[in-house]
Amino acid sequence: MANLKRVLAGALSLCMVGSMLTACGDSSSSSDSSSKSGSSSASGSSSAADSSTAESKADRQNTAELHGKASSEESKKTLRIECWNTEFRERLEKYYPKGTKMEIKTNEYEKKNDDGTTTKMTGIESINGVKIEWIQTANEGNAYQTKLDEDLKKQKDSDNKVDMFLIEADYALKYINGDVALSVQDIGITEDDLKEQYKYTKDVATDTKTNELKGVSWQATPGLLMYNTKYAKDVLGTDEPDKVQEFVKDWDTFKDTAKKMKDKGIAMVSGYDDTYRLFSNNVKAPWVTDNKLTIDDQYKAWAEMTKEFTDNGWNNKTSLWDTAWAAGQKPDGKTFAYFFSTWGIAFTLEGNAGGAGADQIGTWAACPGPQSYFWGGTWICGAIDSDNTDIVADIMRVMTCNKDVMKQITEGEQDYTNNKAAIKELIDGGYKSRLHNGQNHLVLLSENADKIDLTNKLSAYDQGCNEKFQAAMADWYKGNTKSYDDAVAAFKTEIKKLYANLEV
Amino acid sequence: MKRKSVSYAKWGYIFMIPFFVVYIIFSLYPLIQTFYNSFLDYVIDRGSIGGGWGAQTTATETIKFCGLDNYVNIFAKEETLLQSFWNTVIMWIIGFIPQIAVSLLLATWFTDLRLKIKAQGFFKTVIYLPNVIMASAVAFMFTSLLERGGSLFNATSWMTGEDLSILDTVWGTRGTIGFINFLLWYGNTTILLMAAIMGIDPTLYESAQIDGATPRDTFWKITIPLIRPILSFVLVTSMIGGLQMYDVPALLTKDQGNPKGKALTIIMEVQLRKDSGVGKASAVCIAIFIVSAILGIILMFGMNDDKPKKKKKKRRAA
Repeated sequence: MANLKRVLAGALSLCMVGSMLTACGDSSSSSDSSSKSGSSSASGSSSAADSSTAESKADRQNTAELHGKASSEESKKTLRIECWNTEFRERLEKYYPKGTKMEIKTNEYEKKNDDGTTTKMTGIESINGVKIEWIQTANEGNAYQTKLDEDLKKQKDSDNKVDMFLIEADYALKYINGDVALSVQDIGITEDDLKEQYKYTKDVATDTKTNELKGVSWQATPGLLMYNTKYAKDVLGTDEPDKVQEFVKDWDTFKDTAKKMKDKGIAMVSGYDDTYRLFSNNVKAPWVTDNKLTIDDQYKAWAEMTKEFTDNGWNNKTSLWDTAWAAGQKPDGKTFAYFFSTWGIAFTLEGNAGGAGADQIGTWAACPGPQSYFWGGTWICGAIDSDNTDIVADIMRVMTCNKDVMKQITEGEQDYTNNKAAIKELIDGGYKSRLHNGQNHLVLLSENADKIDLTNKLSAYDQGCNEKFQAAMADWYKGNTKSYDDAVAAFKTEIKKLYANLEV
Repeated sequence: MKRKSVSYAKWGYIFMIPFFVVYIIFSLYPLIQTFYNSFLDYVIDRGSIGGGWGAQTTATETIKFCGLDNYVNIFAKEETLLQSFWNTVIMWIIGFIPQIAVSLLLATWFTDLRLKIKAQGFFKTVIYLPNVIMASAVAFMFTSLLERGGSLFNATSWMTGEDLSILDTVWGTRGTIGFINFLLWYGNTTILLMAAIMGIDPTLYESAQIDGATPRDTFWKITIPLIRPILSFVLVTSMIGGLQMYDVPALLTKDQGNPKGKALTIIMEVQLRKDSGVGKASAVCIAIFIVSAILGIILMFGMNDDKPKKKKKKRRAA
């Protein structure tokens, strides 16, 4: 009897151990089932890149014709849009009716705010009798991409089609180079419609194999160097943007200025990653080419410069978004410069500085900085096999090509819109910001936006590579890793785990 | 005789069905699937969505049978799995030793006949409270306290010797993770041990005291031997929970397991790999499964021995 008990107890404890381990078993098997559709054919072709490079312009797939199963009547009456937050939805609901000739039916709904309150919103119920359905999945932990992948893989065999989806620059190429987004020319958007958009926003959404444009954006997100005018006056003797620019015009003068700031007890930049995008937007080759990882010299230059800054005490050793990083943006935050793109000025810097006012956001002014760069942005894609391409095209045209609508968005939302003509009109109209002396920083933004060139600089693995590179280098700056080479080795180990198909 | 008696056993089995159904679908099947995957060279290309719209099909994954290659590879020199295993064990020990010590002390005090602590209900609730809070919330709180600019940054950064947060050092990070685990679980352990101690016949203590035993004697010679089964249960569950350590280190190190990968736990390793290197991730899972099973069996036969109990019973009877 005692033996039996022992065996039973042993069996039960094994079961318990087993069930505790199901977290890992479950996740691997669920990722297995979600991708099962392709598994049978997988053994035939060795990798995605092989067959995709073989594709020529002649047998292009991303046309507006139907490739898979015909859609149901209900799907034809519904415009399904995949997104991760309500930003685009609110822009669309507010500005699309002003610029379209389609017949709009509005409705009222309640939006839940972060603090638990609700706001009454006017939504769009239908466009030309086609209902709008928003499929919102949070961005955290890749959830949005997972959901989008699943739905787009099903698209061919489903009679309920996705019509539109939103993407970000960090992983845009995954969708742009895969045959899941419609070529925008194919749904009736002409070169002429697109001529006022910034080139870099088109670079992000251009298929690198076929050179087709597959996504459009309503916003451009060029960045500037934001500097604290008080410290500029104290240390550099001037707070005028043109003159301050002379002190930060390239990385060598930037370092000289850092020395001067340090002598007065002021950090030149806040932390490690602030300057990262300026380098990563100016690489010669993307992180990954033909499944092979390359570390561009620009990344090395960034790492070595940041190490120099850290060792010399020219930064405050903060990380993006942490408490000390935000605190440095106060007018007396002992930090001279921050790098912000269009949205960061209104939504981050202003809040962290303490709000609007001459001695708050008004202490900050903008100058172009050492290199042009961009940070953030959202692109709209039409899904392949969409059964409402006319509405998709109309939304793209109104939201991203219509000058008047885009001018209204900039005025109403402080968004920097992707339309050179609209921005030019605003500049000519004497636009005044809340920055130092009401600086018209749109001029600088539009100059920087023109300079950004992203041809052959993006890969589908950028998000993970950027994140892991920054983390590995931070360990070196903090003195935990001995040398740059050790940090690179640690970075490569992590990449091998994250993207097992890559050659590092 | 047997045929005539009413058997209620079948009701037992019927009531157990839901558990086994759920267990088989959500635990056993994935477990077997994981075993199977661990023998495959199964790689997903995360940078591609695949296709298959035209004549050409584009695959995002490659699956090949590779025998034990994954197991050989995960223990290769350049891999971090062994390091992660030691990280996990070390962080578990840092949390477990104070946890069991404090829990034993509190449980003994609360159950002591002579101490008669007042407002026990209140204290028990307070002790248990940290366990009710989500681990992620606690980890987040510690991050915002200790990170640069956090309210405890100045108070703790002297320990690093440099102008760094203690979360930027190996032992600072490990210590914080261990401390959070201690904070979350000592209440739970206290309650378990109290239940075990209250199960001991109070006359044993009384007679020991009459015979002149000190509180220390009664603790080491009565309490500890009699709560050994529960102690070993606490040890096994805590160890298995420790091997699964994930949320606290993941949040505290922002998923990176840094500094130097010395706070990377095995499950973080699995989470990092599972979307791309499925085969290797499965092999890692199976490796932990085997380790947990071995440790569980050793502890069960080593500690959950009922020989001392029998001796006691005999002695009492005599």
